[in-house]
Amino acid sequence: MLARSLDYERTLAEVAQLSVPEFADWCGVDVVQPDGSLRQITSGHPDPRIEEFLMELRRRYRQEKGTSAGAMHVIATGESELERDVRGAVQIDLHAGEESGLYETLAPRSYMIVPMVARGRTIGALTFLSTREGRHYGDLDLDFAHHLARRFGLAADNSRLYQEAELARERLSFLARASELMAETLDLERTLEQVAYLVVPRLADWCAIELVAEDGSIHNAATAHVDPEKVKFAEEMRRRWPVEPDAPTGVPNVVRTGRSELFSEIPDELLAKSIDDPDQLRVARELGLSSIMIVPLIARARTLGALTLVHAESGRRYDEEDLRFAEDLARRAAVAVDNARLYTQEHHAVVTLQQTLLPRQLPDIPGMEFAARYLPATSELDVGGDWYDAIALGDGNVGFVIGDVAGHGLEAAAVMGQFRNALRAYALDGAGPAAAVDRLNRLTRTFEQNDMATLVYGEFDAALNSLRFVRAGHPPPLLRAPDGTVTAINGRGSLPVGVSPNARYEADTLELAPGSTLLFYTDGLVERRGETLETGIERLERILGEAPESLEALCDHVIENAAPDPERSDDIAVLALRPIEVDATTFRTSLRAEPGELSRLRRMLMRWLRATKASAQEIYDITIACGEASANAIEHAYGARPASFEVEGAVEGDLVTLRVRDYGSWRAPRGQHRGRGLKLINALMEDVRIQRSEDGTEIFMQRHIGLEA
Amino acid sequence: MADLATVIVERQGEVQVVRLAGEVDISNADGLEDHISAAVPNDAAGLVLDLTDTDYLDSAGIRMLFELGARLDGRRQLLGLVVPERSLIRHSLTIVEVEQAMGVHDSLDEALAALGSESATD
Repeated sequence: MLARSLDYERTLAEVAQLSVPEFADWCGVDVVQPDGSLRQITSGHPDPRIEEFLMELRRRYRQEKGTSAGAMHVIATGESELERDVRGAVQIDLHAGEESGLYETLAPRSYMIVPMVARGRTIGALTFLSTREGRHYGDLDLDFAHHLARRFGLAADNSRLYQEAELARERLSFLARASELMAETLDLERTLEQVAYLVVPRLADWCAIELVAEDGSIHNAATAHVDPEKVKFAEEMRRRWPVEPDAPTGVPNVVRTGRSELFSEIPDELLAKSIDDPDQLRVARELGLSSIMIVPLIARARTLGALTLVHAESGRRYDEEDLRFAEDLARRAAVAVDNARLYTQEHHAVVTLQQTLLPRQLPDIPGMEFAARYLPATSELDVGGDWYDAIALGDGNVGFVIGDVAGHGLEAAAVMGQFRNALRAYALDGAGPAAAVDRLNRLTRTFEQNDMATLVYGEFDAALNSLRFVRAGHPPPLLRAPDGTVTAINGRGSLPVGVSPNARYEADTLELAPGSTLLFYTDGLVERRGETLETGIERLERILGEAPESLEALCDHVIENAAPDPERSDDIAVLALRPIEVDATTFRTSLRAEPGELSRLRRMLMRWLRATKASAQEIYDITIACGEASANAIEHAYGARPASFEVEGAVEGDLVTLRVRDYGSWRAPRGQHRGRGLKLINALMEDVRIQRSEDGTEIFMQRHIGLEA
Repeated sequence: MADLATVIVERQGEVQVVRLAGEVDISNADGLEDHISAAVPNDAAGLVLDLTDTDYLDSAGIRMLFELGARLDGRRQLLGLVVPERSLIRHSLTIVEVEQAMGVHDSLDEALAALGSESATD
């Protein structure tokens, strides 16, 4: 797994070299590996052909004798072997020809094999071979060999222990680094990628992570290899041969049982046995898999999936110790994956809640254009709390809100919902901006927590192009005049809602000429780290000045330029509105049959008449006449059901025509007062006709204007 | 809806002066009538209702003027109006012959002087 320490390898090589040539002509060191196999290191023979021959002999010898003789036997029993004279007693069949020749050249005389014992454990064996004329080992040599083996054994074991300690330390720091990396992001996909690429190539040539879906199906969530082409190849394989959910071994089994699988070696029989499809088998063989570990990802008592580590082209092998390490890593990864999964769920829940709480469609108000955007924060648990709203208040009036609840997450989104609904209710009640925000502020005292919000609430009278607004601790809206100049609309400004029961909210009035654009936004659009809010607002002013005319395009432009980073640490809400020029030759409105509507009607009518050549006195007189006719309509409307009346106007040259239509029943004028109303209409207009029918009454009025000028 | 009209009351010698600013229509005329009537104490010789800053006054407002006049008359108090010549409301007051029922003056001084001399001859 993690590279074995060079010190250990070097120690073993030194052991082999030390006794040559003074004590032996060739020396072999065999060390027991954790998996029980033997690792051999030799002093080497000056003639490489003979070295190769010796290796081959040892291999065959082991195959034939097993643990009945030789180093394997010495290690198994702890008893040494001494062959004083091996001349003429070849213990292994030699192939005729070359091998016999090599054997003669080597000319072995005598050999000894002694166990290497350290801390009461046989850790390997030392083989000493003499090829020197006359050097035959005896009992004294054996004693010396034992002595050497004890010393070397201790040195080798110390080195091994040191290496293990090093390895453990390295693994611990690797795990710490892994935990750190995995904690860096709560994004599930990125967490899985982090885990996979943490492992490759140090711990594996391949790493794959499979997750179990809600329905129990298993799907790949990440694959890593140093070569991206190979990752593509793996994905292709997975498409062709998807994981069989009830396979007896592999990922499905690990997920099912929660127990790891380790295949230290992958003999061809194993591949052939576990893969039926001949094509798949061929591809698997080409991959050259050498060792595989599959460990479960278990967090909070749930098996989330499995981590698969594969050695292939590097030829490395996994052992039990590697498996334990992989399990340790998998436990940490599983917690990270689970956190990311929970986070993703919550992030998704908050975004969904936010979106259901925001208006799906902005109201359709004649003479008014809007566009709005809401972009949830992408990173961390920062979603939630921003909102915008547009409320049709009737009679062409519309309420606008941009707001930002303090805090983030589900709670902030829920509180936002409360603020939004309450403000809607107050707005529809006709409280007016100052009273509506004041009531919202008082409402927060009944909230269980100290919920706070900054907001701008404005009511726009489309007929008058006038906005009354309250700015409660929120960044100022920006106004772009038809000529493109941009100014921040600060108004007098007041405390955020929910801060103090004594806060006072007062409205400011702003004339919005047709064609001017008002931009409301939340701080996510202007705030940047290490920068004042003012700097951000100034930047937004420049951006708004250059933004395209279309409101939809304007919103996109503003967001792309003011908040270009796709990774947002805060929500962004934007609401843009623009009064548009209406046809000046005609006038038409429908009003509730209530006395309170008359002043609104007057304002609309006066604004319309100001666009004509009528003088101030003419405007006043026509307004009085229309007001009298309307008061008449309101008086007709007494009844149980809510009634309305309509006023239509037209200008043709210097002739103004007005029609006031109601759907009530005509009453004859009673008393002097109503008589005065009709008298005024008749005196102020030139042609007045009253048409009564079963459906209601229409008063037709006409007069010329521009007479005084 | 914000108040359409505001009322400022002050005493100038024998006479109570009420400045009525804003708009008067059927939505507020009755309320204003009560308010203004109550603002005139019994010891005052009369009331000058200053309509200089009145932007709109329809037939409901005109009725209020007549009703006020009648109420004050019942208390043996006089009513004078200030409606400058340039005021837009003057035209409609003339149509319904307000001048026949009460004094309509161009300025406050003129109204105060007229009320003073009338009460003196009373």
